[in-house]
Amino acid sequence: MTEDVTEVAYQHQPSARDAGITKVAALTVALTLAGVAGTAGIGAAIANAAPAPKKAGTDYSKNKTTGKGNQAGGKNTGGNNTGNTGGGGTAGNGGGTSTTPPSGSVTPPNDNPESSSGDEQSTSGGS
Amino acid sequence: MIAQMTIAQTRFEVWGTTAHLLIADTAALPAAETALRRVLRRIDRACNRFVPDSALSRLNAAAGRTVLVEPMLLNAIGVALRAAEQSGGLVDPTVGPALAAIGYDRDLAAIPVDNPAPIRALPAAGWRTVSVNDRLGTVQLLPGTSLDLGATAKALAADLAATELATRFGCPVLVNLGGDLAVAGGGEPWRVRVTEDHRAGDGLPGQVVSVRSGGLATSSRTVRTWRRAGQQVHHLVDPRTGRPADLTWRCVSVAAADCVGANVAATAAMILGPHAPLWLAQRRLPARLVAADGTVHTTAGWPSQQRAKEYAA
Repeated sequence: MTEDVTEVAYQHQPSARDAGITKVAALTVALTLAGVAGTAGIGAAIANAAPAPKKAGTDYSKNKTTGKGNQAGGKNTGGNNTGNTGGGGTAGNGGGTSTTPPSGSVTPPNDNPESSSGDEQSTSGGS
Repeated sequence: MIAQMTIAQTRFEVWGTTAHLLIADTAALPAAETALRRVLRRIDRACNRFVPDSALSRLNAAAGRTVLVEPMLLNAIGVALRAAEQSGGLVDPTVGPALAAIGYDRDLAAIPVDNPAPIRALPAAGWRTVSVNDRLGTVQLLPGTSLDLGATAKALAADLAATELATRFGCPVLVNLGGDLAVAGGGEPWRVRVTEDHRAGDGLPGQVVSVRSGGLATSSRTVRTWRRAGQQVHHLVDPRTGRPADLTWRCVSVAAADCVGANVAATAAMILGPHAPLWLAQRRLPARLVAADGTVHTTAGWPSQQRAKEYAA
């Protein structure tokens, strides 16, 4: 009964059927492209992920571009999950260049410290 | 152009450590020192848990009841709770009882050099147990708990003072409170030596870096120490365990947008131990970490250092 009614409607308005077919086709293409892009993105993210450096005397920031393909990104470091608050677990990313600091975290400086060869004017040490 | 300006400076003792003020206007130094001392007095009256009639001591004594607190303490508690949130609870103001349980229940100078009693481990109640009503200006602590603002109040004082002085005198300013350092007012970068003990001068190895804005702080486990039952104890308590933090790092220096942030990150790094470099790098915080064996590690653009094993024997 429903099919009969639909067929009648299409007979009266064939443009509606054509438009529907066009929309389905466009949606299929969009979903296919999104799937391909997503797969490529995940692959690129894995390929760019850097291993957690363990060697002594290391500049950790320099590991951004030296990662190997078998180091998975996006794992939880577990380092800041605290027993008494139950919060704070943050998603790591293996040090990739697209690192986004966790929301609500300490704000980095506007200007990084730079090397200096002159005599110090003040001292930052434990107190 | 600081390099071509005359820098005036003064030092004085405060909170068992040294305050160091530098200002790029010689004539402004006396008034600037007066203003700095005023900020420190306000923080001290509000936040010093070793002063019986401070606002914090009154709040701690009233744990379990809702207390109307003065604006400075309310601000300092807000800063401490944000620090706890930012650090995932690693820097937690409810460590007051934990610090007392390991022996840090009075000014450092008054702690017995070697108490034969072993420490007690008392995990923190957790910062989420603190109830704050900003609109009414009230705070309520759980019964039996107390706050210690030592991890943030000194850095907050440095931030407040540096901003106030730079605004008031219209020139570059550096305020250093025992290694918690804030700069404001622009100008050429300040040259700062990072090392294990801020009073060590050239006696300990370190690194000189230039800092243009924001804050720089160093957290160390080798300065505020005492002995209990024959064991050396330090003041950086892990809120999760109530015990002094692990011994992975001798000291950690961090640069951030302000001194509070720098100090929070440095303290959190000390507590995190081996996880600290990744934690700092994920937050893009430039840091210098000195391992127990003297090896120097850096993160997120901290300038390189030629002598990588400077602390090695």
